[in-house]
Amino acid sequence: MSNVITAGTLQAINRELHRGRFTEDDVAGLVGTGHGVISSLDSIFADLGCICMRDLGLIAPDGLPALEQEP
Amino acid sequence: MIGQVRPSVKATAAALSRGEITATSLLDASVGVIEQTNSALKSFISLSIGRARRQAAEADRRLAAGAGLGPLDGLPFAVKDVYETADLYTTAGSRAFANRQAIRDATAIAQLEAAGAILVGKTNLHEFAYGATGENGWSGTVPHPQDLTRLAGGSSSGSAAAVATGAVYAALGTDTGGSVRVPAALCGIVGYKPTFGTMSLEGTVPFCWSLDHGGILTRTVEDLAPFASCLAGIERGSIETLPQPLRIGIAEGWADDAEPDVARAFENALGALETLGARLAPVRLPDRSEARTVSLVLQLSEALAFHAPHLERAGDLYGEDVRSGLVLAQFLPASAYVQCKRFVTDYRRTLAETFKAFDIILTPACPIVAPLIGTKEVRLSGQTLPLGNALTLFTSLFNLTGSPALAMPAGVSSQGLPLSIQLIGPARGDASVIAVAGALERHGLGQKPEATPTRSAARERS
Repeated sequence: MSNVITAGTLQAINRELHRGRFTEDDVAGLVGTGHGVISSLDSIFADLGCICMRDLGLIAPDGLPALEQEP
Repeated sequence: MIGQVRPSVKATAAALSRGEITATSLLDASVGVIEQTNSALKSFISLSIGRARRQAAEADRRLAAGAGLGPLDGLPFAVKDVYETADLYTTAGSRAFANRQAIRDATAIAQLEAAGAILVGKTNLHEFAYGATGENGWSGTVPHPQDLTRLAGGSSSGSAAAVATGAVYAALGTDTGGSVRVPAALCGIVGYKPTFGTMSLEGTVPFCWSLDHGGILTRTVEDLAPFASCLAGIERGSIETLPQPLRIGIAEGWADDAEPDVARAFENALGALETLGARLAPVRLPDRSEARTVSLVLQLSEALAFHAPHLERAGDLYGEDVRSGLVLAQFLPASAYVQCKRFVTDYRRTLAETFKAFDIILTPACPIVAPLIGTKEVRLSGQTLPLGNALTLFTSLFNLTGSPALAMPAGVSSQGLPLSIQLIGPARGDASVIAVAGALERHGLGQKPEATPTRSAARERS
């Protein structure tokens, strides 16, 4: 997913799915260098892609009942 | 160092019960330190002097009658300005919450006041606790009490500075990725977050419900014990005894990612533990980089859920870094949030399994010493990290696992800045964490000068 996220893509999502909750400048500011605890948008989405593709079996989200059988 | 060295909680409580000093004189000393330091440090956002004076007078009446409430009776404390109070605004360090008034005090404040402790004020923080540097464009950035060109760290920056300067005996913070332990580490004090859910956060402004922990900052581990007992239900007797045998897991490779002075302090701590009879063995922990992304997704998603209506009302009053995080949050899919919550389950199971073989895991608390104000990035082990990531490199995993964790002083760097280690225990293994930290402190690790109550600024009872 690296290097495919553009300000235009994010601005369109912000405008069309989130009723323009943030300004175009706010959204454009996400693309580029890191800030605060965010290294870069591309790297976060790349890492998140790996996390989302991990097969965790029957593990349930934290706080919800487990569905696995005892080993 | 700005401020004063306070006597210990134990010595102060003894002096109070013997009538050598009064709660009112302790409060006067606190106010004196705050007046002396706050223009430079910006540790406090608001003060509660009238209420504190009434409580100090009541404590003095109790103590004079021999009816003191225990070791915390008459001791001044502070809270991070996310803990709600009925008589002061709870700003969360944000212009957007500048006039936010709660109708009652947070439970943790009520618990301390029931034990006789006296709230003197509310401390500064990184806006909405979103960030580890403590930089804040509205309420001011808290500099390091020892070197005003450096950062105190955050997000509980004011709480750390208030304790380090001796303004209070303890300050409450919150810790979502290291926000109690990081400023404690940078300022050379103790920062403790109990097992997830054991210290009440009722009546606090949330950042991320899944990861927010209450936390306590004190000058020493010895001082921490009565506050931990009051707020996290730790039995006082249980922290006197070390696990036998004492099995310490050394986080494999973590110290290699720290600055050389930090790594040296960590090695010294290992030596001290061996002297105490501990068995040391390496332990492999979950991947920190992956855990950081998991943590970030949970933090930002939950923060946006809380802040969405406030953004609608006052979005232009938010600081730039918080706002940018919330902007990012709206692009994170719900499935990613759920998957990250599944990772939390996995991490908790992994740690529970690990703790079958260990009583405590030891890591450095922070890979760097207090950075200069204005630092944006840090280079560690050949990687360039945003400062916030670097500061929380060794802490954020243990918010995901909900483990009790404590940062404590472990010496000073070649520049004379504090160094720190972190002790982590199994869920509800808080007593062991405090017991081992206490043993290290008594062994001399990170030793500090001690003051006596009569040498402090406190005036004797007239």
